[in-house]
Amino acid sequence: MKKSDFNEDRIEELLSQMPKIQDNQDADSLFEKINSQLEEEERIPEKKTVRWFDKKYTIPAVLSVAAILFFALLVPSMSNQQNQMEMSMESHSANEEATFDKAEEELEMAPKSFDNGANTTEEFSIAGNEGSMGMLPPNDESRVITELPKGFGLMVLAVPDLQAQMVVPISFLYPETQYSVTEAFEQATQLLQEDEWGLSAFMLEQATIETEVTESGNERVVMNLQQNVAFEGSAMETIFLQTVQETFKRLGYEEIQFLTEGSPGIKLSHSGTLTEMKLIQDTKKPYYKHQGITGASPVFLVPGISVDTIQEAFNSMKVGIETYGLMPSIPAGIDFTIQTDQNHVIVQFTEQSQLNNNPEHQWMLEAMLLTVKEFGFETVTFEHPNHHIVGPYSLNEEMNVPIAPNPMPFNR
Amino acid sequence: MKEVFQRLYETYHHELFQFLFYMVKNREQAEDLVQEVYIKVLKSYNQFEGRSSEKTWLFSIGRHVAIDWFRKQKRRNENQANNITEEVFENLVFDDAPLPDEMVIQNEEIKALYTCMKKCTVDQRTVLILRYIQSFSIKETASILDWSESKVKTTQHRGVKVLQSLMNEMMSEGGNQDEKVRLQ
Repeated sequence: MKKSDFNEDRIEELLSQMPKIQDNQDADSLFEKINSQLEEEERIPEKKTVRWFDKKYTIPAVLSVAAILFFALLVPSMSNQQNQMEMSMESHSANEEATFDKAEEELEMAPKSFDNGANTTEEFSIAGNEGSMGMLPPNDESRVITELPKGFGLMVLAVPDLQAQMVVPISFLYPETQYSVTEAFEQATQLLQEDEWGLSAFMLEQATIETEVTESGNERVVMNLQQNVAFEGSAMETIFLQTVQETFKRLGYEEIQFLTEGSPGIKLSHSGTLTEMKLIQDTKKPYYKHQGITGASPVFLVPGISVDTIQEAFNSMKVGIETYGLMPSIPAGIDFTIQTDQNHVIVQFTEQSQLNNNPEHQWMLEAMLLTVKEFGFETVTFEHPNHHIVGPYSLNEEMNVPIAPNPMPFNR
Repeated sequence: MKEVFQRLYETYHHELFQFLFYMVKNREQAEDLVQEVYIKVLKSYNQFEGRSSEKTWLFSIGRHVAIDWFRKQKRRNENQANNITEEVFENLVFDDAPLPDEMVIQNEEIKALYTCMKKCTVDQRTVLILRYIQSFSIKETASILDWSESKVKTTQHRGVKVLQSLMNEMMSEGGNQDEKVRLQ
């Protein structure tokens, strides 16, 4: 047998030499088959469709139209009465109203932004139904998923930054009726655009995952890797382990089991063979800002290195870690004190801290929320004596910590 | 409708069939899927907006039909055996199938490459087929897949790399005997 040495050019050459394949079906017989299927499909939905002129619906429809006409006549006279009442009230307290209006305006902004978020998710699911045709990017600046909408599952993939020094968790919401966890992982992998997002290649691209219940009743992930996935050197190994932690820790599994081509364990050059690993939720990591390609790729919120206390974490978020490309998530000029009470954290901004309704400050709050979650807290109240709104967040109100960072649409 | 079909058939049929054949690696299956593609195309032909070329539109529908088929096969297999992995599934689907007539007469390298292609991910395989076997440009491939051109390039490169390492493994001395047997 000859010793072979295929380089990339040779592979490309061979690919282009693959034989041409002809179909033996002729056009006429093919059209007959297609046409009969089309006719059959047309017949079936007709039975289900209810048309407005179908006999049994005619009478109720006429009645409804009459009812609408009746209300149409009634409503203007009712609203006239109400207008008059409102006008008289307004003249009584014109001054009071003016101040209220301002506060109301501010408050109204919050639900509006949340609405946008909800619409986006809905649109994702619709687009998902159509098999990922049509692109709908998130329309707001939010870098967190605040809650899990009904019928959706969470998938997170942690992708190394360009220098492969730390990993960026990217989150997807997928319709649970259409995708199993295994399929959602596979699909999400295909949706990563590492080049455009200023990141390195996802390390688990060739991996497949399954989930199973252990003897003790816990759910675990079983990940199968291909033989040719090699992790050379301890730095790559660290990044690989971080990838695994940050990919699976938010999905509700307690441990992960590794397989290589179906056999237990993966070989790591530094730490030897690894068969399983505990997934830890609260890794006490502060969140920073990261942008792989300055000005060109998206800004992500990225966990750094574990610290001991929440205060330490916030202090570190004011300075960042320059060597890792982790920029401060708390801008200069922002000061605050914190109080903790069981599962709740209160962050009190000082009066001198100028909060603005801009992405920079929205990301700060989101980075703080994500960090607080890393320490096991469940709710947060941001307080400021003068400011009430930052992006979609109302200050001075308790809010839940988010479920995951850096959402991306589950379609192309 | 027949005129539309006739025209599409004359212009694109063999290329479309070849694409589906290399995707699912089975002639009968490709015959069924090509019908499904035409049904989808004829049903939505009025909505075709001409944003992409007719050809890339046709192929993007072809790709979706193939992916749907993969999904259905997998579900069917999952129902039969709950713990089946994707790899086992792919082996079930592809390994038992004898090499098609067109492949049997090819040289060892081409046969090996055909077998290795199933080890690529579906996306890598799609890109490799579109780029090298169908000779689409990067731009056309990006349009078919609704991806960026850079994603096409990276996926293509990864696919070639996967094939390279598999081919070296398979064709070198002491290559896996099972793989050899499969090529007979």
